[in-house]
Amino acid sequence: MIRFDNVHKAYGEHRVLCGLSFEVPDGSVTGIVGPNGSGKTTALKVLCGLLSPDAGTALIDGRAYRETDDAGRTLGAFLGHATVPATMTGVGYLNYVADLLGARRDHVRTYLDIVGLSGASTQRVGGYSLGMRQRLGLASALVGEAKTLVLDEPVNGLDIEGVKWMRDYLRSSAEAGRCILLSSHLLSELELVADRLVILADGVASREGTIESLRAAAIPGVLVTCDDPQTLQPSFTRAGAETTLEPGRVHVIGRDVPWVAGVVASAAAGAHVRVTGIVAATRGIEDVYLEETSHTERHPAITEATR
Amino acid sequence: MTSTILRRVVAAELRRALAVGGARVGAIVCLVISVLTGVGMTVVARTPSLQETLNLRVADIGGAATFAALIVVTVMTSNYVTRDIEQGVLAGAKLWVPWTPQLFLGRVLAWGILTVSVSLAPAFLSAAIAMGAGIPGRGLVLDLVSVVVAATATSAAGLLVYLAALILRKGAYVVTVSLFLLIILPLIVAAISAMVPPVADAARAASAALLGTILVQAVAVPGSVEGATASTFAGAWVGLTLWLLAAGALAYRSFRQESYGTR
Repeated sequence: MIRFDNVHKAYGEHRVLCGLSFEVPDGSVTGIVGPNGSGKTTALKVLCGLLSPDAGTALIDGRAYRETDDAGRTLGAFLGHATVPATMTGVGYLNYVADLLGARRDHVRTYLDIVGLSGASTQRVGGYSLGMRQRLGLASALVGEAKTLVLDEPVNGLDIEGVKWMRDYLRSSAEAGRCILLSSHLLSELELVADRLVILADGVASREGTIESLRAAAIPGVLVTCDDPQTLQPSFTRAGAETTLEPGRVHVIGRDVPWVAGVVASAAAGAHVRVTGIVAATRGIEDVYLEETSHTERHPAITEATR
Repeated sequence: MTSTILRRVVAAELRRALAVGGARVGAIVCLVISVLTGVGMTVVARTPSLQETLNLRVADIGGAATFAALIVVTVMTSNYVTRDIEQGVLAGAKLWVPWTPQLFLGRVLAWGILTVSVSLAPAFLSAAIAMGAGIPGRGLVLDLVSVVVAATATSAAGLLVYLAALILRKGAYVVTVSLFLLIILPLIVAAISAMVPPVADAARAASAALLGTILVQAVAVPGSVEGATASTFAGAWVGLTLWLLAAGALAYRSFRQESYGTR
């Protein structure tokens, strides 16, 4: 299990993490999402021991990564293809990682097979496409056979087949009991692979939960389109619903379509309002994300990418 | 646990250095230099007049090969370390080995082993060729000691370049600083000593602490080189050790920074 507890981290005056707390249970895939510069990569680097938190703790199975006895078995991480050296061959690179982790070299061929790079294993990484580098990076995270996986933007540069493969692999790994934390700016991709989501804004986990709970929170009610919303609105209020007025429609919050249709049937005729549509306000998790992050600076001058 | 991790890092770094994209080319160049030096000297040896004129001995030949290797080691080291930083190898290593002291020490030890091997191999090989060719020596033991000392000094210089590269992080800076410390600075101090008599004594004292001077003295085995004394020789090795420790401390200070090696 991964546990962030009140983690603070600043680069000089620029505060990136301001009390980040969340958990990633074993046997699940948790996605972390947030605007550029929101601290996703910083959070992962703190967990991986590359950065020291100013306060708080980031633990894997109850211990900081730096305090573990066997790094390779504890954590498999890939923090971007920039750490894959161009001059080495694919197999040479994985051998090096295996040697550092104390993993068996005969696992290397297995993982090259798994990521589909067996045929290109003796080529230099400089000749690889972005997708191939991503696959090699993922193999480097797997070669130690760690229980916990941390992946930063794992589907970047992958083709459709690669994305599908990655998704299936992560799902099956979680089902086998692994604890997986991944960051992505592709919310739609996270929705497909993750069980849980953490929305990062202003250096804290502004919202977290299962995909289902976030989807449920994202369907707030029903939109009633009519020619006179002001006249229709009191009917819903009298029936006990919370409403907001929008141009050309009434937004009935927290109710479903049959309930709203019943109110409309009894009220609209008497109020002489012509109702032209009753639809569920089917917003997605994306809308929840945008709400949570709308007040944050989208492109701060100092972003993690520049560090 | 510490020694296990250290052994693991040393082994991983050595295997990487000898793999494709590592330091193979540099090692091969050193071996080629050794063969060329040995063959060249054999040709000279078979020309007695030339041999007398040049006053060649086995140790000289080993030394020549070692200093040729020094140039290769300097360039190879500078490229290797700066490439590690630029290509993210170091960032990856810090991720897989989150214990900074062991990672640092393991990498330095691995490079030390590599430079000793790369320096000793040419020295022995060319000395063996020279011996086979009948070039006169000053006794087997003294010749062997001279060859080993020259090779060890070369690897120490290689290690210093490695540490300088960790501090400076840019290949051009590393080569410039290395040349400055090894050649230019001793020349400047020597020039000052000759041209400004009032400061000659101070300049000579300062010169004794310079890396270029120390390296020259460190390869001058007493009894093998004219004028070389045991105290100068021992002093040079103490000086070289101090230079290594100082560079090591500075390099570790840089290396342990959070952002070091990451982009």
